Amino acid sequence: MAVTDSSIVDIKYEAVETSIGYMIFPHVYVNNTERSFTNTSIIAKPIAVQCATQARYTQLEGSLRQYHSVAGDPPGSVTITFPSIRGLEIRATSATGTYVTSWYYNNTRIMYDSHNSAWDGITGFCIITDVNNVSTPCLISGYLTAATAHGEAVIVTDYPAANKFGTFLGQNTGYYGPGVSGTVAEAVVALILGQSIPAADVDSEDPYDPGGNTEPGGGDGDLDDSTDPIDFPVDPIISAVDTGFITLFNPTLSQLNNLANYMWGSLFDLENFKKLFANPMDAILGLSVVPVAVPNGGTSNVKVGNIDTGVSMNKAGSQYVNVDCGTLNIKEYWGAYLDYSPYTKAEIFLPFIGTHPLDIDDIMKKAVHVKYKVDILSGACIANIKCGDAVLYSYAGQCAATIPVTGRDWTNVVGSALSIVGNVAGAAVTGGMLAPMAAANVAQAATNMSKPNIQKSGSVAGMAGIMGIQKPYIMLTRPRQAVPKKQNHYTGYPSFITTQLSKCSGYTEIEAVHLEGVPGTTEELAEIERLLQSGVIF
Amino acid sequence: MAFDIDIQRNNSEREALDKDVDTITTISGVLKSDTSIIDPVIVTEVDLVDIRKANYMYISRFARRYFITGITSVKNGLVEISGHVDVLSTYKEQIRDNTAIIKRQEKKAFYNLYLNDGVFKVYQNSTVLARAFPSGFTTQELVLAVAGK
Repeated sequence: MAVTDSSIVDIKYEAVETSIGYMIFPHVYVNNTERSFTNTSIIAKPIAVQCATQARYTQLEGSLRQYHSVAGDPPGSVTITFPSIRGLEIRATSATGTYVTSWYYNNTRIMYDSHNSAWDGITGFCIITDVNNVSTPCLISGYLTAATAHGEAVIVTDYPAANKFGTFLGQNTGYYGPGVSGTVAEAVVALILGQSIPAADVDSEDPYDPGGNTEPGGGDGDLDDSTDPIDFPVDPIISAVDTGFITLFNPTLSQLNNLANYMWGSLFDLENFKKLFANPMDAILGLSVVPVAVPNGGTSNVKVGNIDTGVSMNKAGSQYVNVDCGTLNIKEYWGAYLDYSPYTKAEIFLPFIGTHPLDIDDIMKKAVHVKYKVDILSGACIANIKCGDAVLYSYAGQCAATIPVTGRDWTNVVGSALSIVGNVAGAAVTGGMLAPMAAANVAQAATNMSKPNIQKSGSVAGMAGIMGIQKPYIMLTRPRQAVPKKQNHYTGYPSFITTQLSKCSGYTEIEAVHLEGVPGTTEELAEIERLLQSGVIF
Repeated sequence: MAFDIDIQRNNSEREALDKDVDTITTISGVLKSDTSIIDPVIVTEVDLVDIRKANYMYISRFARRYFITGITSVKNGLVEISGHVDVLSTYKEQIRDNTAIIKRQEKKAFYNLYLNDGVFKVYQNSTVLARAFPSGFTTQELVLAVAGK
């Protein structure tokens, strides 16, 4: 961006405190827009400026005052005027080898009585020297403190000559610039040579500047689409019956009747009833109906509170029972994209669990195998659905119907039944209109994607499940395709094959071609390509 | 300079590379000034009745085949025949020699029905069917849980 005579240039300096001192950053504004710049005469670099102590500050102020009062303004021919900095104009004059800085505020030379009044009115400063006409080292040093800088500091340029500074009123100064450390003074002397912003300008408004981090990549995948087989789970290794605290029986109805008669009869000796229980019925942990054949673990007399009832029952040989519901092969109807999501949908009804959606892509052209694992103690069941080689779906349910043997049991059973009814009533319809798929670009296509999703069952746990359907089944929803006669002749079917066009016959649309060897004009070639893409007949 | 023009009737689709054409007559004409060989205007002396059923022409001088886009009578016996080049038929051999990625095709050898098709339509009433598994839960038995052994 070129700076013209009418440009408004403002320079602000920012001092950022660091562990080693202040870092100084320039901000240059051209017509109120910040610009960065590079220039041989103006190099904006962050320079560490170590803060002087108050004593040094005083020394500086004292030194300046002293120098000023002693030397006055030497005769010279160099005057450098800088753009105003928040209204402060700094003017410097130089002599043949001796330099002095005068401080001006609103074009009025300021004489400082004390540093407080002197510095409070100044929001920034720079010390200027003319380095081109030096026979004796210039006597400059500068100190900068946070208090004096008011958040602003001094910019140092690339000072072209070293050792241009001698002593300043007896204080060794030395040259302080980028990468150069001094001996005595810790401040950096600021030089701004020139006043113009060059035309070369770096636009720093690009948020991704400098960018340039793009690179090629990709295409190095391992192309491994093999799958690990995920088989049905095995039974848990710990069974509650093995603990000795619980015994599971598989009674017949007559055996149960015998037990009930004993429990409520006069033969039951409460005196010998184990004092572990306050109520004999506490020894009966539960009675339930399960929808499986309980494995036979031999027979045994039922002991209630260590009292042998004399009632013989079959014991359950295992806490866990597996139910294999068999395999269903899901076959394609068209052998086309319509057999898959989102056009065809699938759901599965699982006894004691309910209806759940299946991804049609998971089951199409695969053997779907359902196996239940039932815990006859708690009634919990889990249905594992194996699609091909892997179990992809697992749903849990409750398949035991509790038969209340105590008043507490009765309350729990009724309460559970009521909650199931509530779930059914509230879960009839879920979802809403699905968003139309973008796969088809014809308005009437894929309309089944815009149909509402209706939940086909609620909770079917416990006795509700026992009263419900006992065999799982899959529901498929397929679209009915509308196919006009000889559609392939008029529109063709999708292809994405590379081939020589001489092998094509009939209606053909081209996805992409680079025409070669056709002796036509540019206009003709363009028309050939256009026609091939819109459809031709070979 | 005058050249021969085969005035023909095309019976095939415009999009076909191989055209079934019947030659009606062969005339002699000149290319009208400021017209191109892509969209020529042929000036010829011919009776309109003789070429009224023509919709196609072949100009061997230009080695191109054309759709006749217009037949205009300039004055009695003088006719202007406008045409547009049939690039498919003119360059059919060279086109066939090219290799391309096919987007849609009529023949089974080149289409794949597993690719999504944006042209299809469906009826609003879907088909719903059920497939039952071979087995399920076939019995109910009692389980009595008792504390202790």
